[in-house]
Amino acid sequence: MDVTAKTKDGKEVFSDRKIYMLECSDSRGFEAPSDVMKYGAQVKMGYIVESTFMPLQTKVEKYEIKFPYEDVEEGGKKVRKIKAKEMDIDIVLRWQNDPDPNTVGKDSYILFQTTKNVKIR
Amino acid sequence: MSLRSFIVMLLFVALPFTALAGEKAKTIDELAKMYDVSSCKQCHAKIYEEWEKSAHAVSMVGTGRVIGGTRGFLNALKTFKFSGVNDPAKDITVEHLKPCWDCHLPQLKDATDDVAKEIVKAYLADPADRKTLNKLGINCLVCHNMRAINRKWQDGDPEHGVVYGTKEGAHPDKAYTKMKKSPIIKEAVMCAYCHGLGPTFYDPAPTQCATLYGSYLHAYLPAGGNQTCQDCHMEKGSHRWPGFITQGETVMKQPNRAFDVEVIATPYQFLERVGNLIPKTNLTVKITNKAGHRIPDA
Ligand code: HEC
Ligand code: HEC
Ligand code: HEC
Ligand code: HEC
Ligand code: HEC
Repeated sequence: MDVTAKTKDGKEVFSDRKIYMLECSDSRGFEAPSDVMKYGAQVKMGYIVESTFMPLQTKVEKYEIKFPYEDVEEGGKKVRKIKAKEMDIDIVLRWQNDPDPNTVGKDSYILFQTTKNVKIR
Repeated sequence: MSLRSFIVMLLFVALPFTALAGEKAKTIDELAKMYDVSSCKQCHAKIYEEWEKSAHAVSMVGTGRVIGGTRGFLNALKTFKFSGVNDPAKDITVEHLKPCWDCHLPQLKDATDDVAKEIVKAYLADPADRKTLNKLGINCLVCHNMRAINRKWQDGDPEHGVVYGTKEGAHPDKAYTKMKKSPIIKEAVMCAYCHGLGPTFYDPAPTQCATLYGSYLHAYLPAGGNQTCQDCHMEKGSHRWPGFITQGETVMKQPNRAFDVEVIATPYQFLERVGNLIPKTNLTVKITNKAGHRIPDA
């Protein structure tokens, strides 16, 4: 899932990517540490981390996204200048076949997408 | 030769070369013929067309990753000291392919080692010989015959010439002349063998590919779910099994039926301490998986 925030001038002020998957090792700790993730059905045995979406469960992800600001000196006083009071936050949940995002609709399917416009006064 | 045995012989000649106990295919073409389903199209046209477009029909290739995966597996066999494989093109036997093919092509049990070598040749060709590989796949007879019975001591081996489904009686196909009831056709266990519990510990080279049935058993049912695989994946008898591999229409439809997503955004100025007012947005994304198992699998 990609979460990206942009100000109205198109500047990216926040971005985060989370990957949800079965992360497997080869469970061969006797010859090398089995703390290394592996790919390949003939290699994998067991999981190191299981971060997929569990059936009938809700996963809650929280983000704190700051509006861009800057502290400037004005007449000997520190003043906080908010550089943008509006942002568009894009949230895209994709099903991804390989680690690299490829062509949407071939190796990459958008399962959910929305944009939230947020403003402060 | 008595007249009777002559008739029997004629009958055998007339019958398509279907899976007979003890007989093994010597070529990919013979194996494909043994499990030929082209006749089914004539009467089950809609089911046939759906199946043809499904991931099951191309289980040796899939998105193409099954080719890459198999090459990786063949390379691994070379490095395994006790596998007996130095040159996959020469040394491979049916037994060596079983760790993948038990699920991706269970018909292989009715093939000789020559077929295993032919398959390896198609995989190792550059580019891989997809046309040959796609002659085989998880077809009607895999589910409606060989995998339709899982308790063989209780229910016997699947019989030759029978399609297993929900009914008993005569069946108008030329080679498959009878219908019998499969005890499991409506059950989730019908899909379980291939859709996996985790590593296949029963193999000398255990593999871990699909784990989805394990998730169904250990996560979906405990959470109160009560639908079968067929309820969600074969509504109205559909044989399309849409999924990510074949870009099924269900998957592409927005919003996706697997997930409920709720997004709450709260823009405000947070007073961390007097004099430090931070303008920010608290964003909460709640994602509920409504499917009968983990997503994604494997
Ligand atoms: C000549 C037409 C014809 C051909 C060819 C044919 N079928 Fe059928 N099949 C039928 C009919 C008609 C029925 C339904 C019989 C009934 O409901 O009494 C049926 C029923 C079935 C059933 C049982 C359905 C249930 O509800 O239990 C299965 C399974 C099946 N066919 C599979 C196949 C397969 C696999 C092939 C190809 C090897 C095939 N059929 C070829 C006509 C055909
Ligand atoms: C327990 C049964 C089972 C075994 C054993 C198995 N697979 Fe799979 N495989 C599946 C199923 C079912 C899927 C599709 C569904 C899924 O991933 O949940 C799949 C999917 C795949 C995919 C992704 C499909 C695509 O088209 O992108 C690859 C690649 C693959 N398998 C390769 C292999 C290889 C190589 C082996 C042997 C080393 C193997 N599998 C062993 C059942 C199995
Ligand atoms: C992956 C396994 C699988 C494959 C492959 C498969 N089927 Fe089925 N089929 C099933 C299951 C399971 C059911 C029962 C579904 C239900 O009603 O819950 C079924 C039901 C049926 C029925 C009865 C339901 C109806 O709508 O009339 C027929 C006929 C049938 N299949 C024919 C075929 C034919 C022909 C093919 C090949 C083109 C085929 N099947 C391939 C698993 C399979
Ligand atoms: C003989 C083994 C076998 C059986 C039985 C089987 N499957 Fe599969 N299934 C597979 C394999 C292997 C694949 C992946 C094929 C590929 O890569 O093209 C697959 C793919 C799928 C997919 C597509 C996944 C995707 O991401 O596109 C769905 C959905 C599916 N199966 C559902 C079922 C259901 C439901 C049943 C039971 C009625 C069932 N299967 C029975 C082996 C099997
Ligand atoms: C409550 C409904 C439900 C049940 C029960 C269910 N599924 Fe699914 N399954 C889904 C949904 C929704 C998806 C996401 C794709 C889609 O929208 O079709 C999915 C996806 C899949 C995929 C592709 C997963 C991936 O990440 O590659 C496979 C394979 C599959 N199911 C097989 C099965 C099998 C086998 C069973 C039974 C053990 C089963 N499903 C039970 C709803 C269900």
